[in-house]
Amino acid sequence: MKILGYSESFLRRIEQDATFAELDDKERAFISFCRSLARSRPRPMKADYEALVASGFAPLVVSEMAMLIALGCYYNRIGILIACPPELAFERVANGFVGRLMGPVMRMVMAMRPPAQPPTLDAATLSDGPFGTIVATLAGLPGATIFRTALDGAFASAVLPRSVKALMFAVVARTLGCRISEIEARKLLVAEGFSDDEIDSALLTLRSPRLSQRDARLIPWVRNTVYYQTAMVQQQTATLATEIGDAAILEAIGVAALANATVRLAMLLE
Amino acid sequence: MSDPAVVWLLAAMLALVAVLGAVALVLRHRARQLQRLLAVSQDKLEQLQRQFEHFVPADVVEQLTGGRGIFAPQRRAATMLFADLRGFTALCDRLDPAMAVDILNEYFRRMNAVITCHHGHINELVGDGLLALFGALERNPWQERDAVLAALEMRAELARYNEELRAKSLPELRFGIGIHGGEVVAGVMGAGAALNKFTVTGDPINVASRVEGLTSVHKVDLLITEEVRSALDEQFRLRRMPAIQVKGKPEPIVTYYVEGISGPGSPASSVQGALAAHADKVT
Repeated sequence: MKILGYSESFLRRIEQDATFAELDDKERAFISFCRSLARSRPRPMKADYEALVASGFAPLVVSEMAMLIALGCYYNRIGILIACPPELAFERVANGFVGRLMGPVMRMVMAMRPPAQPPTLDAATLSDGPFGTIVATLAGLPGATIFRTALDGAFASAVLPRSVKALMFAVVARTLGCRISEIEARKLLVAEGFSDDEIDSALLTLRSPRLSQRDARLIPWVRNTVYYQTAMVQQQTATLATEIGDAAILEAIGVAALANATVRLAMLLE
Repeated sequence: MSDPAVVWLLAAMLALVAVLGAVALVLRHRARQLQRLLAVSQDKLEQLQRQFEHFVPADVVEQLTGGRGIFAPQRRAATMLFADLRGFTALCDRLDPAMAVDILNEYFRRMNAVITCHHGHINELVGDGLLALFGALERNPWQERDAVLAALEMRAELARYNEELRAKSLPELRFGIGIHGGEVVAGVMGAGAALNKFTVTGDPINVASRVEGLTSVHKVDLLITEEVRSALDEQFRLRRMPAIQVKGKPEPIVTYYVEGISGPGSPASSVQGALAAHADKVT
């Protein structure tokens, strides 16, 4: 939200509202679940998901919460790893004279032309592609299509080989201790010609003779994107960028962010 | 309008409005002060929690800050790294005390940055020695590898620091490092509220300390045990040292001298970046 230009005071007000709002136990459990999933220290489990459903939330509602948190993890990493500065000027315009004048007009125009909703895909369609088992659990949500498209797009891109991207997902899965995600990543690696022993060795040593010198650098780096200190991971990413080039680092950041989001969703399945 | 009663009534109403306005202003001012105080307190608490997580596992912090009581001790697989400066006590006798402390603090700062960069954390500083833990704060499937990479980078960083000390005509530092892994008991331990801290205990800690002591016997700077070696691949260049009996162990301990690493694995540049990040104290 800082990158989008929201001010510190605005963010603080949101935090205060969440702290002091008169919430019932069910709503507090909801906020606690979102926080726990975002931080993943310790990682949440299927039992946490089931506890929310048992407290009265519909399964689809809990899935949507989980998806929104996962997308939050995605955007966090994109912003932090690229280290783009906050759009303070943009926020100033929105809160300034022009913003106040144009705001009602823009709201009217947007109300007349709402953005098109992505189609809601069924579980079978969602499960067709990388990490299908995980994405299929979002069936019934329009956002599931976005997740499916993002994963398909990431693995279709030719900037980095599919094998290194699958290995990056596997490393994030192992860092968070998510067996389901690791199994899904292994399927992709087997499809790329890796043997089980080669995958085991790569995950044990964070390197693989099958990877080029450039791609090998991404494997130890991607684990740093799971739990990080902002300044340190930005320094490491900047160093990596000088070594592998702009196109590769951009795709690597996208893949790392998507892996963090996908594995967080999968954690709720086990 | 000329009726004195009406005039008095109007005056009284104006006075009342003025008083109410003043009270409202004071209340508003106080509310703003309280909001500011609240914001500052929240910032401090958040900062404290973030800093706390550098020394205590995040799940322990969650448990304590969530009002769920004392963290129950747990068994955890961890890798311990002991590092001890050689001959620093004798050096202290020759150096100005302030200079000795400066040299030691800079050494600790550099080692801390390297250890943090490799997913470890310093749990204890005892004199000129340090105990770093890997895998104790959070799940780490690569803890042995991280510990050895950290030790290699510590060796490189000490060489860089020694160059700077030499340039200032100050004495150089030498250290011995011992690394061992195993299951330890982690928990909040101490002699009372003021002395309590999160730490680990168990036989692997003693073994790591003994292995560090063996670096003097073998006249090398970095030794690891069989338990650590079994988690490493051929990327690490190791030399087996003769088994030696140590206090408290029935069998002689086999150790390996870590000569170095082949190929990419620990880019020094990233550690340099981390050092810079630490220097900026940005988290």
